[in-house]
Order: sequence, then structure tokens, then C-alpha cells
Amino acid sequence: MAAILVPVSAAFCALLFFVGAEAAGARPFAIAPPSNVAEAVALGDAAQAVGFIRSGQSPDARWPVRQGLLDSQKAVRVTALQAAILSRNTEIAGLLLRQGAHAEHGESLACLAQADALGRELPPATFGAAPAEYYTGPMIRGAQALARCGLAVD
Amino acid sequence: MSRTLRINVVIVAAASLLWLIAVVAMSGSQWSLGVYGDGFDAMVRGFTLKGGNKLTRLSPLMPALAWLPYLLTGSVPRSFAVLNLLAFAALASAVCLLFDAHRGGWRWKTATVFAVAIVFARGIAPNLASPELLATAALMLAVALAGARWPLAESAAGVAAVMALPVGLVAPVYAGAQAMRRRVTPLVTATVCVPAMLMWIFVQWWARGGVGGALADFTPGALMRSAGVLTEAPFVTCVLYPLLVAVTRVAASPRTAADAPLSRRATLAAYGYAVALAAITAYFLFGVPIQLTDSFSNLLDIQQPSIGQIFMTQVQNGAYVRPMLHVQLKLVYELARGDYFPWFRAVQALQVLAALLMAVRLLRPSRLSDLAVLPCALAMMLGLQTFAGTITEAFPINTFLTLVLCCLAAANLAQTRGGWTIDALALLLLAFALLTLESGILVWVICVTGYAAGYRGISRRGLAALTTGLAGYFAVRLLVLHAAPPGLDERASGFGFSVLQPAELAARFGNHPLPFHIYNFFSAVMTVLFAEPRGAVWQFVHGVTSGELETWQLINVVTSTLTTAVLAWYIVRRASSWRRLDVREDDRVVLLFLAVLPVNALLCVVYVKDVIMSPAGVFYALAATVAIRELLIVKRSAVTRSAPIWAVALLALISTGWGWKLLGIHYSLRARAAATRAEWAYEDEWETANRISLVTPDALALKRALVDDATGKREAPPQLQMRWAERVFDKTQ
Repeated sequence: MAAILVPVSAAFCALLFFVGAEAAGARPFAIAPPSNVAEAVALGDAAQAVGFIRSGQSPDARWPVRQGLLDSQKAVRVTALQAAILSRNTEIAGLLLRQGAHAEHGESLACLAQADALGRELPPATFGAAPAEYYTGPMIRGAQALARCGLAVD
Repeated sequence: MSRTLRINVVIVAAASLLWLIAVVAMSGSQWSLGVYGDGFDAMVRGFTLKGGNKLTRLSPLMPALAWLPYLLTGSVPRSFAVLNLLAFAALASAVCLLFDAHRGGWRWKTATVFAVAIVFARGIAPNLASPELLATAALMLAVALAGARWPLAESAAGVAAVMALPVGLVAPVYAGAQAMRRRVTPLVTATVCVPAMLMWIFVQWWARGGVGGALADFTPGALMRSAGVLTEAPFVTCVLYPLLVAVTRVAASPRTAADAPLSRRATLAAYGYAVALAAITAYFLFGVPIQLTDSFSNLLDIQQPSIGQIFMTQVQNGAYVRPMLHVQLKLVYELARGDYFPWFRAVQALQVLAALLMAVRLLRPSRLSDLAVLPCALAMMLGLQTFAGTITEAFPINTFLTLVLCCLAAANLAQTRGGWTIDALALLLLAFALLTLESGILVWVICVTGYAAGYRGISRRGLAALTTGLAGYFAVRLLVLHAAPPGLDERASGFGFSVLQPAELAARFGNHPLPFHIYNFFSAVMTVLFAEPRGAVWQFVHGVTSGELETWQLINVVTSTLTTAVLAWYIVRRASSWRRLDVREDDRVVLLFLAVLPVNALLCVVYVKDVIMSPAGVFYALAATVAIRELLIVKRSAVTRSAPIWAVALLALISTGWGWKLLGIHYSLRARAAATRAEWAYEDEWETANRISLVTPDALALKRALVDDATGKREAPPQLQMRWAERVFDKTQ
């Protein structure tokens, strides 16, 4: 009887432990929740990003994004739109623009998209910049791309 | 000091020390009081219960008990730390008492107490002022003392529980039920439950701002909004308690033969397990908002018209005559009064609970082997790919789950002792099922097969009425409403290794649809028995031939195939008896499955979707359970009382597979929560794509409410980061 009872009961206990741990405030196997709109975008959580914007967070402000999401070496401070480009979430970039984000420094954003090999998905016109090549070179990401395109990192 | 007491003292002391070390380690140099801190801080410093907010006033015991430690330590955080340490010691003592009462071994006792220590250390460390540990301790003490042996202590624990958190009301209710069960005097019964109940009423009145405030907080809508209480430690403990008792009893019982009869309590534990599993699934369901696609437009459609108008409109809806589906939507929509998410999700959670309870009732657990197989039975039911759609598709009301309930209800009615009320209920059930979904015909199939197999709950007259009703349904449908079945050009459907769009289907099979219908029929049967094909697409075969086989596909197919092999063994073994009309109780469940499977598959001939086969899937799980427990009993050697190694290995593989799938379906639910929330972020695009323009205030209010639910009004469930899980759990569910 143990053969049929034990394995499936172990699965049930695992579920029970998981639910109990979450109920007690732990987050087993989960990533830390986003603390601002840029982190939500970096995590690909469109609903949470919209939630932050609806609760008053500006997508145009620069928000701290923890290390490991956009840059593996350090935490960066970016706008929601920059976070969308750096995390390669082109769909969320469009969503942010519809939600009222402004593509300030359009040429820099176009450069960032091209540096991240997203020149086709996010052409310069998306950010109000003239069609041109704003970046040439190998694909770069994170803080390096921000610095190369003239955008503040810290 | 007795040996048991000595063991308990050691366990409690060691676990308390572990709890303290864990809390100190997790808190670091900062003691955080959490959300209760602001209110309780002033109450402790001022030695008063006045002030604070509703949240803190509902737990007056917390600051009151912290006064003495505060006098001694002079620090509010330390006083709460001391109080929680004492509360944990009380909780650990209560757990020990419960294990002793149910004759649980010391190993189980130690493991449980230490697990509780770790869970509560994690929960309390960032919220030192949280009353959850205190409330759980008081509640468990009250439960451990229940039985009216020490009425005053029991009464005191009950009063403490209701003063710690509102959910503490469980303590006096349980104490009263236990006292009545033991037939103690009315005075003792009143002693153990009345003071706590009065105190509960007083605290609710005082904390919630008088009678008006209390009544407002206890309306159905307000209760639905406070669904967070479901994750509070005392509530979770209430759910876990019956399970703990069951585990203790099984662990403590001597090695009994598999066919030994169960006590009534153990049978109740089987239902307790179903409740616990439903509660876990409900926890995951409450993370999934109502989905946008295939749902929002349905809700918009039922906003303005009355129930009568909705019924008539849907009756004349062409191929799909499903008025009750929309009537159910309308009823819950009106009851929700703006709180759509908790109402609709609560309906789904209750449906899952009802389905599991009815499945347990159909299996009639009466032997030890029944109890041993039950967790696997329910894992099969929830984990089968055909059932997945009934819980992962976040429609306001999942029609397929409603139909599964109707089928289980029909089988349960057939199993009763009968009577004209049962006949009438069966007729109503058939009407409801047929008017909810065309697959409602399965209710009739179950009733007729049940009678043929020997169930006498529904009489011959009842069957005649059901058959007349079914004939009337078809007559009205075909002759009056002219509702023809949908054609090939309406929906995409799988074929071979890919999904064909309606135009492709029409081009390929438009003139000769019979081969396609036969293909769909066999695909639907195969998907239940072998988990392949899926949606009529041969994913596993494609994976094998292309070298792109995923681990989860292998798990699915192997688990289902092994389970089907056991079921086939049972059918072959019993077939000769059936030919002699020797049908046992267990056989009837298998016969129901054998009848439901082909009829359910016939309903898929136009297009195959796994979830359409959910009724057959549920009866497959029940039939396989019957076969597995037969294997358990038959293959045990009379001498060694153990099964041959191949049978042990087979059962272990089956159990592991279904246990894995049980985890997988809950993983899918969490993933679905994120995907469904994301849908609403793009709602404006959906409106444009579907050429929908919301103009009425009601429609805009509905949109606002649903978008709020998905994008921030409710805390999103934690997003899991388990990359390995993508390979091993069936993400297509």
C-alpha cells in the first residue's frame, strides 16, 4: 500500500508546504516582487506595470532596477521604456507608449534598441527619432548599452 | 513524570529554541512589528485596549498579553517576541497533545512540531506584532482540550482564541460539537462554548463599530472581499487538522490487511483529505483573475437583459442552445454587485470542492486499501489533462466543470436508495445539464447505465421520464429551433501533427467528413486512455520522431498508459463475471466509465478539445482507482502479506506519475495567473481588435472592475522562478 500512497502523498505534502509557506509570508521558488514600474517591466509583468502607472508612478521617471534583471553586474536606474528595451519586451514598450510614457531622448532610445538588436521591432520612429543608424557594433546590453547611448546609468 | 510527558517537554523545548533562533536569524538586527505594529505599539505602551484601528481592535488579546513582558523588558518588540515564544510553546504543546490523543508516534510528532516551528518563524519574523501565531496556538489548544474533560481550561482556550482573531470562533463551535457528541450535560456544553461565543460577539461589536459595522462586515459581499482570511494561519490550521488526524491514525495503526474495514472516522478522514486538496486548489484559483478572452464579451452581453430575456435569446442561438450557461452567469453577476473576481472564483472553488467530495462518495471508501488509493484517485482526477481546462481556463463560470458536476451528481443519485424525490432531482439535473451544454446528454447515459449495472437510486419510472425528457429536448432542438450541429468551418481542430484552420478543414473534409469524424472519435478516446493525442494532435509521436520529446510528454503518456493497463487488467479479470450478470459495487463505477467514454467521444466528432472529454476523464480516474485497489488486494500474498515486486514497482510508478501531475496542474494555475493578468494590460487593444466599443456606464464600470482586479487591486501571487519546471510540468494544460 505504501507504493501507491507515499509518492502521491509526498506531492500533496509538497503542495501543502508551498501553500503554508506562502500563507506565512514566504515566497518559495519565487522571484522578489517588482517594487516599481521599471522593475515590473524588466520582469515582463505587464499587468503590474499598468497597476503601478494607475497608482501614480510615472513611467518617465528613472527607477532603480535591482541587479540581475537588466544588468548582471549592477543595479541601474532607468525609465520604464528603457527597461522595456533592455529586457527586450517590445510588446510592453508599445503598451507603455499607449499608457502615456514619453519617448524623451528619442535618439538615445533608438540607439538603445539598435544596441540590443531590436532595431526592426522598435524602429527609431517608435521614439519619434528620424530613421537612421544610431548604433553600430556588436550587440551590447545593460549598463554598457545605456552608457554607450548617452543615457544615465546610476 | 510519564515517558510521554517527558518526550513532549523535550520536543516543545527544542522546537521553541529552534523557533527563537530562526526568528532572530531572520530578523537580523531589525525587529519589525509589521502591519499591526502602529496600533499595538501605543496599546502596549499605554497599557490600554483603546485606540488602534479595526485590525488591531479585533485582536485585543495580543496587546493585553504583551503588557507583562513589556513591564519586564521595557521594549515593545521584545515583549512581542517573548509573547510569540510563549504562544509557540503553547502551540507545540497542543500539537503534542493532539498526537497523543490520536496515538501518533513520537517521530511524526517531532517532525510536525519542527515543521510548524520553521513555518511560523518565517511568518512571524517580519511581523512580530502579528496575532496569527497566538490565535493558532489558542485555537489548537482549544481543539486539543475539546471533549469536556477540563471544561474550564477548554472554555478559557476558546475565549483566548476568539480574542486573538475572529476566525477563533471555530474553537467554541468545535468544542460545542464535541461536547454534544460525547453527550455531556447541557451545563458543561454551555461552559465550553457559550463564554467564547459571547466574547466573540462582543469583540466583533466593539471592534467593528457597533451592530451596524459588524453587520456590514458580515454581508456576503464583504466576506467575499476578505478572502485573504483563507490564507491566515488559524484558518489553514483548521483545514490541516483533519488531515493531520488521518495521517496520525494511519501511521499509528498496526499493519492491517488491505481489505480490513475502516472506522467511521477514517471514512470521514477521506472526505477531510478531499476538503484539504480542494482548499489547496482554491488557494491557487484565487490567484487567477477572470480572463479577458471568451469571458469579457459574455459578461457584457448579460449586463442589461433580464434573466428571462437572456434565456429566450440563448434558446434561439442557432447551433449552441445553452441558455442555462448564461443564466448562471447572470445570477452570479447580479449577486456579485461589483465584486466579480471573488464571487466567480468562489463559485469555481466550490465546484472543485463539490466534485472531489462527490468523487469520494462514489468510491465509498470502506477498506484500508480504499483510503490508501484515495490520494492517487483525486490526483488522477485533478491531474488528468482533460480536467485541466476546467480549472485553468478562467472563465467567469467554467461550463465544463459544471458539466462534470452534473455527471458526478447523476452517478451519486443513481447510487442512492431511491424514491420519487431522487427521480425528480434526476429529471431536473438532466434538464439543467442539457440546457447548459450539449454534453449534458451524458447525465442520461449515466442514469441509464447505472440502472443497467444495478444501481437502483433512479427507478424505471424515473428513467422513462428522463428518456421522454431527452426525446423532447431533441424534438424541440431539431424541429422547432432547427439547431443543427456546428459545421467543419466553425472551429480549428487538430489533425495529425498540426492544427487545421476551419478553411483548411472545409477544403480537406468538406465533402467527405466521415473519416475526419472517425479520426476525432478515436483521438478523443485515446487522449483519455493514453494522454495522446492532445487536442487530436499527436504531440508525443511527433516528439519521438523528431527527437524533440519533452520530459513532461513522456511522464504524461507513461503514467496514463500504465494506469490504463491496470484498468484493462481489471476489465479482463471481471468480464466473465459481468457476462454472468455478476456485477459488484466496484464494477458499476467501471461500467459507468465504459459507457461515458464512447458517448463523450461522440460529442467530439466535429472538433476535439481535451476539456470536452473532462466527464470521461473523471470517470476514468474513478474506474482506475477501483482497478488499482483491486490489484492491491488480489496481488498480496497470503503468506508474506506483501505484493510481488512488479506490482509494487507498477503502483509506485503510477503514484509518482499522478503525484507529479498534481504538482503540475497547480504550477499551471500559477503560470495561468500571470498570463491572465497580463491579458488585461492589453484590454484596449483587444477592444480594437474585436471592434468593441464600450459606451454604457455599466460596461465601463465592469471593465474598470475587471482591469483593477487584474492590475493591482489585488496582490499578484508570487511569480515562480523554476526554469526546470518548464521541462517537467505540462505547460500546455
